[in-house]
Amino acid sequence: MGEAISFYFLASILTVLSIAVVTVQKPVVAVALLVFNLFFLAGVYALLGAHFIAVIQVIIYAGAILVLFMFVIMILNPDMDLKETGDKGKKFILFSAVSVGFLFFSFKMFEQMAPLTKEDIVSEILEDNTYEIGLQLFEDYIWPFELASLLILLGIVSAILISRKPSQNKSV
Amino acid sequence: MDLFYFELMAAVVKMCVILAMALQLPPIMVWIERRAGAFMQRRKGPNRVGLFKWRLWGLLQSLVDTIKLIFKEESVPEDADKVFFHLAPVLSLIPALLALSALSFGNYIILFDHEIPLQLINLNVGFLFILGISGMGIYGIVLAGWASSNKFSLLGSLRASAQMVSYEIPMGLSLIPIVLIYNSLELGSIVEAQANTWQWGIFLAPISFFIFLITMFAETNRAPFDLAESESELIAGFHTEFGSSKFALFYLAEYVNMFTLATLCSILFFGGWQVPFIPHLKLIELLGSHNLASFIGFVTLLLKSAFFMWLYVWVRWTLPRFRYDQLMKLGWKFLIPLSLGNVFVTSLILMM
Amino acid sequence: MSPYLPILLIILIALVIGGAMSALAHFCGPRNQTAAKKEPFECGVPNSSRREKMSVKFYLTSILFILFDIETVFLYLWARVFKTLGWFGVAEIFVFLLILVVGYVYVLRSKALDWD
Repeated sequence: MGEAISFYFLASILTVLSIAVVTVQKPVVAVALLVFNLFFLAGVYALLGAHFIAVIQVIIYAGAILVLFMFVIMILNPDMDLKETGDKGKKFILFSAVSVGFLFFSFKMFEQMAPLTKEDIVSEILEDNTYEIGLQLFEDYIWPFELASLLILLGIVSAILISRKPSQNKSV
Repeated sequence: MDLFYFELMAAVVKMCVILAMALQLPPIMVWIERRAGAFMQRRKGPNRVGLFKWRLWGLLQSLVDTIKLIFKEESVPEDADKVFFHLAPVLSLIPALLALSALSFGNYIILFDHEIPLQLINLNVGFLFILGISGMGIYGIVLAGWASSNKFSLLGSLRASAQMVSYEIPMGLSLIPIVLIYNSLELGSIVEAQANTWQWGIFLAPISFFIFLITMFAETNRAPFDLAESESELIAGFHTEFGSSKFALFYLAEYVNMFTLATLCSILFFGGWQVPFIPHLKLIELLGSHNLASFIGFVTLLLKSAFFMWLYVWVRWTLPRFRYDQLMKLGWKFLIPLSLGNVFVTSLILMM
Repeated sequence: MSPYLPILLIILIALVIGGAMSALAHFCGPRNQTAAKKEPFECGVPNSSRREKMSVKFYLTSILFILFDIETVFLYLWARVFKTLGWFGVAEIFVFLLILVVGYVYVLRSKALDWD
């Protein structure tokens, strides 16, 4: 019961926030809403018993990747001349209608489906997530893990190449 | 009594204690900071405000300051983003309080035959939660700078957040040897593993402690790393435009963050709620009471964190401020290689 | 009781504190706004907009932060199972770190992190 309430609570927040992210006009506001969105998404993971994934979601997505988004938007500052266009009231009504409609249909859809319990999704609720994931990763998935380091290396190199001044091309 | 309601009640009580600790931090710390600064510079500092004829060393100055802040005029710049201008102080307060309440303040106490751990948020991912949540504190700062539509604020907030993200990596890396040594991520079991005083983190992982100490100052934007509000260059950094109670909220968040890191430092490196040279189990035996031992542990932990709070003040009045390029150089070119090497060497030593 | 319930409580309490403080200041403080007070505070420098291009180093710092943060998370996972894996785990992480150190050396060589 408590789980259902928490899920619907989180799901409603997520739906409204997600729609807001794509409808607001100021990019910074959109990113800020996306931060909240990802934070509450971590709540959904936590509800499934995936504590480690929830924390990683907060550390990597909400805490690192969106900082990059925020920085890029602040550096470019594209929203200076943006003024909210259109009738505010009309937009609000449209926004709430879309959110409520979306919520309504998704809840109806969930009702139609066979009731899922937590055990259906996670075959076994693991007490120590971190330990289990670590064992899996370092014993069964060694190659993907090592490849991940190559991927990070690629990211580092490309980040530097992108941000390099053109004049530096000759010297490096 | 229903277990759920009992636990809920316990959680609410714990939350009140944590809030009380958090809310009394800024007044006392501001007073200590001003008095210590005055002491170190041979001034008097605030010593007047008192009650009737008792001056109390000016201790009531902070109370008066708080009242003053509330009665100040709120000014919102004309082209500020109103919503985020009002929201930003709260956005920096929420992660600060969340991180504080995830700390383990003591062993459990027994009330009505129930074990109540002295830790409000206890997830089995342990202190990763604290690291993740304190990373979220960046948004309060960034949005504050952006919303106040002042280029100095914006520059200050970008500097502050770039500094925070740069030092988050060495901080995270410096705690890995602790996990390697105690084989756990949970603060409670890390403290239990430090029962013997020579098993404390400071003795087993001194380089980690050194790195953590530096990043502690940088993460909270405190001197000598207070580039974010270097008043000679940026007016007051990201909180230039914030006055009255919003300024107070930023202050609260800053001091709560400081206290969280100070306590985390004492938990991970100084045995947390273990009394020096008396293991907790022995303490229980000596006192004959579980709750009393837990309480003494709690006080011990507070004393340890008080030392680090004092260190913050001490360093602030002692060291000059870094330059921004020096700060970045220290973070990226010294601390990161050092902490990576530290992780590797620690693992090799543990395997030997 | 779910361990996540206190998180919600704390968030609510923080919102209440923030709201209460703002409301207090709003009702207790004086209000006489003038045109000068509404301007951004710039210490006598002529009023300028915030259309200011910031250094690209901030972008670089944050993208490198993401990459090193991911690495840190992997290291935490490894640290948790370190005792179980033994030498095998050390070897794995050695290869992992070696590849990353190559990237780190490249960062240093390209002078991307030199703020001048």
